[in-house]
Amino acid sequence: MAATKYDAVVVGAGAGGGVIAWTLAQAGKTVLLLERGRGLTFQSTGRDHLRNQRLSLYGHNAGPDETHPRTVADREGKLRVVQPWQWGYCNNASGVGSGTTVYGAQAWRFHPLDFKMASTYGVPEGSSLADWPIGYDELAPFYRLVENELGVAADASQMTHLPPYDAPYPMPPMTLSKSGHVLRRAAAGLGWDTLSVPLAINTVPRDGRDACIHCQHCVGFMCPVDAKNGTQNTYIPRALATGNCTLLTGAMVTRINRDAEGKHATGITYHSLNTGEEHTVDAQIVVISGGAVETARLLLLSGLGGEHIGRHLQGHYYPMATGLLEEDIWDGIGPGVTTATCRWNHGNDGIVGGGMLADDFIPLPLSFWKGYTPPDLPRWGLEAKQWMQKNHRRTIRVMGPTQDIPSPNGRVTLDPNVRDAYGVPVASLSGTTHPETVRTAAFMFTRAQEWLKAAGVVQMWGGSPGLILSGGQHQAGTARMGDDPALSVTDRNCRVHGMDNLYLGDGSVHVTNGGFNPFLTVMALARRTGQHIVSQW
Amino acid sequence: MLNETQTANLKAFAARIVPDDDGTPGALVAGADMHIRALLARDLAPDVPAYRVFLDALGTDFAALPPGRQDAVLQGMELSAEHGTMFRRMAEHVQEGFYISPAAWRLIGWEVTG
Repeated sequence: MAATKYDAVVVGAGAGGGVIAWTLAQAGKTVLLLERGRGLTFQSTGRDHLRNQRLSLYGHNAGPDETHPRTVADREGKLRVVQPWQWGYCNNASGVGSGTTVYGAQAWRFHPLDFKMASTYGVPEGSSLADWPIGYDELAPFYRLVENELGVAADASQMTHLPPYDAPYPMPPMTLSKSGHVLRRAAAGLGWDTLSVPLAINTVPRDGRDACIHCQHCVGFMCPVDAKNGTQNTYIPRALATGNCTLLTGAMVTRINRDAEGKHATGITYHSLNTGEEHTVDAQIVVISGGAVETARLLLLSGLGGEHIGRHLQGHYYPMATGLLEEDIWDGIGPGVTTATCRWNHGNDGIVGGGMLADDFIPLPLSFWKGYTPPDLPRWGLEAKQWMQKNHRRTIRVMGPTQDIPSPNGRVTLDPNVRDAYGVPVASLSGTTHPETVRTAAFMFTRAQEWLKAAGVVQMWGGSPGLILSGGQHQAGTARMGDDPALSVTDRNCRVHGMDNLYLGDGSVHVTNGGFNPFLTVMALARRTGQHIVSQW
Repeated sequence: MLNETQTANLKAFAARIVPDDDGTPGALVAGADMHIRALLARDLAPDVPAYRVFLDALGTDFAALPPGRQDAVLQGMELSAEHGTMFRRMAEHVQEGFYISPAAWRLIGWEVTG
């Protein structure tokens, strides 16, 4: 079939892909935005407590399905096949908007030192800790743009851990819950600064959509009133409205095509779930935004990326401290994450990095039973039920993303044997994060417990992970940026080294992944990359 | 999937995993045993043979025993090398069936608004 030609083809309609597609389309470029999943709605994704993107016991609600397996290596290197809803897969939703349809929407900027981890802390032996080639100052204008274009609710005057920025956020912070009040009082007693968690959720009606109704589901589910802002209800419809962007769903890209010399991408080939056939698309610019795992996989499939592609896979480590108060504090005011401290992100004596700590989203009853109960509670019988009845509304949690110290061995490769339903080798995940991450997360767990103690808990439990592969929904690092092509996959404008027109638009380019939820940084980088592409045209 | 005795044993098992002895809703009101039977027909199909083995091991008179005796049998199963792992797995399935029910939500005070 003859190839069709666009100014740009963007692969993956998620956080980064949606932003780049709009940035190019509104500058007058013709864009084909390809997405292997489908459009997602509240009706189609539902509220199944057993099958959602947060608790995926027997499946999930926003894809992908069993036609997209991966393999995961155990400590001995033995590989096992995993389905997208199973532990170890490192999944993100598959559909228009991807994870931004169902996320908790915590819209954090990275800290200036997050871009300078090696200069600040040195490089722990065996780690691949490194500085970004760009810094906070270069990204700040793009954080600003995304906060307004996407719609973020926060208070800039509270961001005292960042260089001051005085232009207001478009919406005020989210309503405080009782547990938020409890944690603020406790922090004040400790002398810790706290702030409202920035959220990409409408706290007032905006963009033709309602404000949040404070339901009890949020993270892992789509919003019943479309108040949660993702690329599916902002950047992507706006891109389509320009008339320059075509969105094609059910399109699984299997190859980046190059000219004879190999330094210029001519376009891509995709398998259509609509026609069952392969199609080729030619474009002047190719942008890959499949997420850290799938983007690495596609580059590997296409023979691209050099020795660093797929390596330095990062996510976040989550220490979790849970405690029992003597009074009920549950008030059902969702989303639930209201109050954070950034006091421990950096400057921790003898510790590499750190992380943010905050309260948690309102847990589902089943999530609470599985994840919030003390380790010595019987798992059946009357005592178990009565503990839940008495204490569900008295339990408080502190947790937060601890910054990964990356290892080059935490990586994505192509599986030598297993193929997906389209005959394409699947991604294989292996290795672990660097042991310093475990140390930092243990330090953060102690801080979390300090906070709970100050809040008046009468009992505490919890912990932080041992040495595992870090990735998950915050996946990043597999195509790191850098000025030196020997040490990186893309340049400082997210252009793949050695290629004149191939760009990456997702978290794969993150050199390190900050001590914060990463999506705002993914979007700000994509916004900057899109603008750079336009300026070079 | 399960024969008559196995079905009765599953119901009795569930009733002790989340009992209603204190007058508040338990697994049966929540339909946890029916939830498990539905899962055994699809998502938990690979577990069916192991379920049958465990439910048969409870004995043909398990469902008719008084609750205290049933608990003693279950405690024995839980501690046994042969059945301990399957006990914990099945108990967790009952808890899943319980905590996805509105009866459980009302019990623990997880109020749904919107």
